[in-house]
Amino acid sequence: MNRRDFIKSSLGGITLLFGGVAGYQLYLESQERPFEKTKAIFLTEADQLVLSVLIPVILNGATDKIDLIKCLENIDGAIIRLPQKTQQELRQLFDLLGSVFGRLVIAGVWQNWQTATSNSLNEFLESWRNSSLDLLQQAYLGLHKLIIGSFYSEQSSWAAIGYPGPLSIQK
Amino acid sequence: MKIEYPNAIDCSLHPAPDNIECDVLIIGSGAGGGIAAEIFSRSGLNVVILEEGPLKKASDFNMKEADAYAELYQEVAGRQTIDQAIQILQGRAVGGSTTVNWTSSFRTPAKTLSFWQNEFGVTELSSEKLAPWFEWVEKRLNITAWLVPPNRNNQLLADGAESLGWSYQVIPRNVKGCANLGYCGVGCPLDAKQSMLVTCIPRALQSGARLFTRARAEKIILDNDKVSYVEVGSMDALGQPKTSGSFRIHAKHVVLAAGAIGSPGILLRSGFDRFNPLIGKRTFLHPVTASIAVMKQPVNGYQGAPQSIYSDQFLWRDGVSGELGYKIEVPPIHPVLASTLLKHHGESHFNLLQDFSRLQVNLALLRDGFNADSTGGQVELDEFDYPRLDYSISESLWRGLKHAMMSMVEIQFAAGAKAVMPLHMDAQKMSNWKEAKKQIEDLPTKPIRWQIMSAHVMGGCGIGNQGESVCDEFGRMHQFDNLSVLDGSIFPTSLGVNPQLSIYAIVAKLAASLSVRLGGELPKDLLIEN
Ligand SMILES: Cc1cc2nc3c(=O)[nH]c(=O)nc-3n(C[C@H](O)[C@H](O)[C@H](O)COP(=O)(O)OP(=O)(O)OC[C@H]3O[C@@H](n4cnc5c(N)ncnc54)[C@H](O)[C@@H]3O)c2cc1C
Ligand code: SF4
Repeated sequence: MNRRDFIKSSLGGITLLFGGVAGYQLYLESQERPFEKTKAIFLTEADQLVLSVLIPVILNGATDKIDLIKCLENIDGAIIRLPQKTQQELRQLFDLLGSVFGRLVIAGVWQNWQTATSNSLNEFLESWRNSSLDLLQQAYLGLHKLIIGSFYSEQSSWAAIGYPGPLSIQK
Repeated sequence: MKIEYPNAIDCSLHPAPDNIECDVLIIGSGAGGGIAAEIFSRSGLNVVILEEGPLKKASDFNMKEADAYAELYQEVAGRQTIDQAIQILQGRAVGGSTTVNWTSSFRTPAKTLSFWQNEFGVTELSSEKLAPWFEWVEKRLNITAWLVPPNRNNQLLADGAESLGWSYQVIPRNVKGCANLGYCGVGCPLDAKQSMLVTCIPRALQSGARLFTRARAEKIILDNDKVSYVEVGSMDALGQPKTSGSFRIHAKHVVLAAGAIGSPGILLRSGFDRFNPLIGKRTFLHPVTASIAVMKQPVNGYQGAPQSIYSDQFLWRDGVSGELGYKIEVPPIHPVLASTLLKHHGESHFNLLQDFSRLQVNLALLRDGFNADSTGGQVELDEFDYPRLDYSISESLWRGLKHAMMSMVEIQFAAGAKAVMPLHMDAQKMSNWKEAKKQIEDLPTKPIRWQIMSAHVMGGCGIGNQGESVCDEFGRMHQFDNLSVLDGSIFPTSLGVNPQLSIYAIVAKLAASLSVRLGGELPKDLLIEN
């Protein structure tokens, strides 16, 4: 499936279902940080789209240019090493996220992506973080660990927090 | 000097071997499995070692967290209790957790051993009887007091304790030629840490033991009340079970050393709970709580021996079996671990990390398992037959966590902290002790919100009297003559000290006596009154 078809079938479909154009705009806007999908083993294209929207919000402030592909690759690389049960749970989480995004983000909590500032996405994440529903809290923590871990494992993220990296060792 | 690993076969690369026979099969190559492997093979017994993780050596260790977590840790360092409230660090590689541990080496407290004697009838493991085994291990693994000055992270713990008049001491370490790099947790790149990976495992292999890596013990198969053979599955390079590649190992004696969670997991998979419902119960964690201080000067907690100072001011604060006591230490501070433990996002996360190089972190590990309310967790199997831990936080543990948080934060202010923040999802940075105290009093004692970790999983196959435990005090499983457990899972409670030296010495003693029973001939250095 090419990119255009993908947009039409998954996001466009949901958008139409909820009678708005915001989702499509959301997707198009997110193209500013080119949403080149990576050849992932676990992450589907839909997962990657959700992540490509959330990653910049979770890492807001840490950098002005996020290597999205690297993050996605690192996340995928971690997940495929996890036990089967955890992978199953993450599959459910991403499927849920896809649908929650469909409902909340795309169906018009933010009528227009341009006004859906990172502030409102922030609040949305914050409400998951502090939710009384264990499921949402765990979803927040799961995403947090994957995204933050995928970013701070890269050498390029270290200078900003004053970590010089390991001394190189001569053997 | 390059360390050799003869007789090691990687099952992710090789087809399954034909069925194998040996005198002793050791499942797991960590603290318990490593020591046992050296002792059995040097006694002339024919030994096979199984390890579900890979063989990674100093030359593979690049001091990068992400690579180490992926290759050397259980579940990419993200193992958790079932309710996701406690993060569990355990190794999964040749050397087990010793390949990634922080080198702190303590003898088992006499109080703990007497408690085992009084409460569980364990007379074989008294301080007197263990003393020569501690000496043997300390010599074997070069355990000595660490005379290099502590790094700032540790020094600040000492400073804080000093100014409050609280006790603190220097931690002995198992290192030889340590360059004080501080990367013990991601695999020592210099072979300086005297882990099982560089000591006992290669020594066993040189004495003829065979090692299968990426090989997971699946089930123990019985023939009446004797173990007939062990079913082994091969794992792929990602650590996932391969669809083909299973084989059988017939051994005269089988030793479980797959670590707590791992060893009871194998017994549960084999259906042994029908013989003994206590399997997997009383699993202890030394639950860890932490507090984060921002100092005025750089701390650089990633550099230098990770743990060199501890305080036992509160370890026995209410006797052995009263309110939970705790040991205070510090962790090394590396970017992935630190950034993922700060459960914030966006600007507020980055603001906290801006102080990365000025962070000083204290941790307290609590002594679980010594009072009636602290009964530990329970290992269970998920629908893929994979073991996981159910651990609920008891009232006495909550009280202990709060008490420990108070002490750690007080130490940090006494050491000159500019601000301190408990590691808790509802905590804020506080700039003085009075404010902080108030905040800690009000912190919700809720699982997940109060961030708890463990790197010390113990128990689940506890030793003691028949009917009240899983193994006898020689580590033999009750009712089974040719099945023993020799790792941290045999402890009937937690310890009150970081566990490696206790596991080494206790397993050395038990393995030596088992070796003789199996017809082995102990080498001279191991002819210790048993
Ligand atoms: C990050 C970290 C830091 C630590 N720091 C310290 C410290 O400074 N001082 C200290 O005293 N202790 C420390 N510890 C704890 C200490 O290392 C462990 O308590 C100790 O190694 C446990 O020994 P064990 O033999 O019970 O299990 P492990 O050493 O964990 O070994 C068990 C092995 O069995 C393998 N295995 C599991 N299941 C199977 C199976 N089915 N088939 C085949 N193989 C299997 C695992 O992969 C693993 O390699 C630390 C631990 C960690 C993780
Ligand atoms: S501190 Fe010493 S033992 Fe630890 S990694 Fe560095 S050289 Fe190795």
